[in-house]
Amino acid sequence: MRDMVRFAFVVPTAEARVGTDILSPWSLGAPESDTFPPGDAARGAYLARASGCVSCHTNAAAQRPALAEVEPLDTPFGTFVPPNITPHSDAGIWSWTIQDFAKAVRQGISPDGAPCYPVFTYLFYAGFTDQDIADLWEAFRTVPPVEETAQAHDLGLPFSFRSGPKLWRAAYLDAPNSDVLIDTSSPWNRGRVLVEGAAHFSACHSGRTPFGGLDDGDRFAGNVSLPGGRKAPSILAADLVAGGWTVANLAYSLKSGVLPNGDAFGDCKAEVVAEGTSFLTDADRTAIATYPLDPEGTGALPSPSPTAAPSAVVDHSNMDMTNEN
Amino acid sequence: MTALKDTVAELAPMMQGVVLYDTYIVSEGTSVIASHAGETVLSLFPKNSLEGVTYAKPENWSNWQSFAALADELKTCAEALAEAAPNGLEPVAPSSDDMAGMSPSDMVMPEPSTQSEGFTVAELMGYVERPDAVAVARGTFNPAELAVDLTALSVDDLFTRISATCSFCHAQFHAGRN
Repeated sequence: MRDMVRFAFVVPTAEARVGTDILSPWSLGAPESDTFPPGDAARGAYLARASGCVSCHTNAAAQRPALAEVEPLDTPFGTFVPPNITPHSDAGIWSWTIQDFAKAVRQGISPDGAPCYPVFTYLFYAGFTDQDIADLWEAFRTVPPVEETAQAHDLGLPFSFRSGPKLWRAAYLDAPNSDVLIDTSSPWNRGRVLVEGAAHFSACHSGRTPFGGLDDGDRFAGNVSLPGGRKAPSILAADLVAGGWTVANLAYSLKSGVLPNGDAFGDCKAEVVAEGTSFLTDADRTAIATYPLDPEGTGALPSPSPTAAPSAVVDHSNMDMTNEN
Repeated sequence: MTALKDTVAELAPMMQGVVLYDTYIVSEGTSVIASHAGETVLSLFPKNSLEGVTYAKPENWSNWQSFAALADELKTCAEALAEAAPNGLEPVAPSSDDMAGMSPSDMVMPEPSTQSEGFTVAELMGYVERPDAVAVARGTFNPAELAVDLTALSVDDLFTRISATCSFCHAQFHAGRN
């Protein structure tokens, strides 16, 4: 059935004409809880930072207000503009209920029932608990409201067809597999929850199908077609080991941006560190580093490459100003 | 630039605790970083040299104030670290063994104790900037106005500031394969 739905994307323009009649009445999602537990803003703020809410919805480089404005994302499907999610009565989400919020975050469905475009990484948040949602909700209510209405997305047919993401959901929507393994170390389990869920590593580091779904065959194998022409490297265990990565230096890079060879992350990877992982605890960075280096949870982490005993500081005279890096 | 990279590569394992900390090597290495920072690194990017320096973005020159602030911060932090090297590393973080008794339900999401890193709700949500990021991002870094004595900080903290400066600079101004 899924293959049939995926094939249906091949002739989307023709389908768009009949799609309005067929897809529009197709209601999505499940009812959210009537009640949620009291939220903890501190815990929610940490989760919002770990989940990329803050970095994706804030144009930090331009010193713009938090969660209100960001650079549009150029993708092969058109230009997406992350919305204002401050608690502003008109431009933001002040009028939402916590149920609306939960349904958007965990199910990717907006309060009017329309499906969110998958550029919003909601499929990785499907495992958030009611407590997680309540905590996030409390954190978002602390944000100063901003009266800045986001521009509309700029998408061509068939992607501008508002019910189109319903087909995409039928073809590609899977909850992340972040079940813990009882017999596996706590850092590994914790890392799995973060990498597969909140921190949504697959969103950048896994291959995509021509229609933007995660390519199961290219999981963690890297992606050269990120928005804006950016690239994300493979984080397959073998590739990480070949690159000199260990749990210690990978965790440290998530804090500092330093690579094993002493170079520094640039571009979007530097942003991920500066606006995301540098806010996390050392324990969480270690957990995140543990999981991809031991994807099966065997407990057998790759041995770090031998490190030569420091013998001498680099000679000042060796300074090389080529542009090789 | 290669000298900076090699020095960082040599010192980083000490900061991670996987190579024995050596005060002399840290002090000498960060002196090398300091000598390549500030005006030295700025001199590598003369005006109208974009075509000859292919790894730099045009913003390197159009946002020169911010670039210069980063170069100054790198020099200031490196000099401070060269002096503070005897301070040593901060206490080692809890090892993974310390979490061995946690149940799976404990691991669903970060606990409130995650705030131990010192970030407030406002900083985490992004509507108040981290104090150490404000000056650099706005190109207004001025060592004389720093509220803290950098040399009193732990080596790990200072080295993190150095590496964060490098990464922040690459994110803004580096057009290379990173």
